[in-house]
Amino acid sequence: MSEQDLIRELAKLLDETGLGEIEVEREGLRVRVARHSVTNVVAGGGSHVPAIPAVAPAPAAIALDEIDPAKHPGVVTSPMVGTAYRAAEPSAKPFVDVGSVVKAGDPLLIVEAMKTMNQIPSPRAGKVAQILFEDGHPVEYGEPLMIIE
Amino acid sequence: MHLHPDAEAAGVRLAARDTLPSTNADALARARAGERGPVWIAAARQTAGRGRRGNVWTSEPGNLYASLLLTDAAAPARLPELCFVVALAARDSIVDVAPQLARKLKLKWPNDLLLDGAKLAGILIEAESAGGANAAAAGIGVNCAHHPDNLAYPATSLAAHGVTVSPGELLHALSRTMLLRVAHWDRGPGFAEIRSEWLAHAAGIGGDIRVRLADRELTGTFETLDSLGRLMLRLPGGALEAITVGEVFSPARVQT
Repeated sequence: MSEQDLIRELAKLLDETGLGEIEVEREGLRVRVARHSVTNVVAGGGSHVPAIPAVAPAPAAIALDEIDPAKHPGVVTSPMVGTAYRAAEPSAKPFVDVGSVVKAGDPLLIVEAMKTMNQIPSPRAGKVAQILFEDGHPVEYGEPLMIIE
Repeated sequence: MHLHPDAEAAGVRLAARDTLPSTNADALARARAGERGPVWIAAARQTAGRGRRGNVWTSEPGNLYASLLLTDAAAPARLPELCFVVALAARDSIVDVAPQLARKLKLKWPNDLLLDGAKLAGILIEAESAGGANAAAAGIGVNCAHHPDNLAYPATSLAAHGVTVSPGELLHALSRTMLLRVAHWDRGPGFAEIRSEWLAHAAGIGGDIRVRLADRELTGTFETLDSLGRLMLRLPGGALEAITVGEVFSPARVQT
């Protein structure tokens, strides 16, 4: 069964049973279908997502949790629409690499929009577990950028 | 150097120095040390003046090099709007000191100031979380006395147009116009009007432009700004592209 079919089946089941939420996990894929919540439908980046997070239609909002970084407790998301950079300038060393240990407030990356360079600080102390954006590529509001564990 | 009395009355301060590496870097260092804005940092000369992404901003004495440090200027998602606020304030200040140039002063997306089609002023905003607050340094360089040659985009100065203005006189005017524009913006709610005024003075609206992105170049019609301030480019195929980062050229002026 494809992911789409699985989600459709689960959504139907949700309606039939009147349950609020169903979660299924298999082969590294976790799918959660919930009736009420407003979540983003996209796992991973992409430059053609609308700037304002889409509000999923009722009755069933569907979230695809393929190790969904947006749901990770250590996720750092983009506070704005722009272009993300790993270093202060092209010739400089990246602020962090996977495995870097950071303190709360340490710079992680820069998001540029309208010639405004926004340094994004680490919200917590920890270790950089994942870097989810590509250097010099567009990011959307709320897009997961890094996981700090 | 002195700020305009209106700016002083509003609690804006000034730190004027002879030489600094970069007024933006100094503003952010102050923020990290716990200083709160609004404060202007000005230097007669910068030894490491910077443009975006490591570009050098030539900083010989005679031109204005100044940064305004703002603390918690707006919610992070709205901070990029500040560039249009600052660009309008910079334009206002030059109209103040040289009203005869008003009709020749145009804004180039996102925030350069053109005089007769050549670059007169540049703006670079750098923001970070510092000293428990969100700090934004709005750096402005205005070519009063001289301008660099041989740039991809041609430059000019006030002196080249027969206007003699010292950096101090210009900062005096700018401290007032910036106060007014930042108040008008009101941390976001005033952006719709800021956007309209920016469009009224913009270069190239409705015309064909080229936009140099990091990895490619696009050609199309500059339709408008969207509500976030993104450049809306109508591509030849009819699609509308929203651009947050790019260097704009009018086709006639492109030098490769």
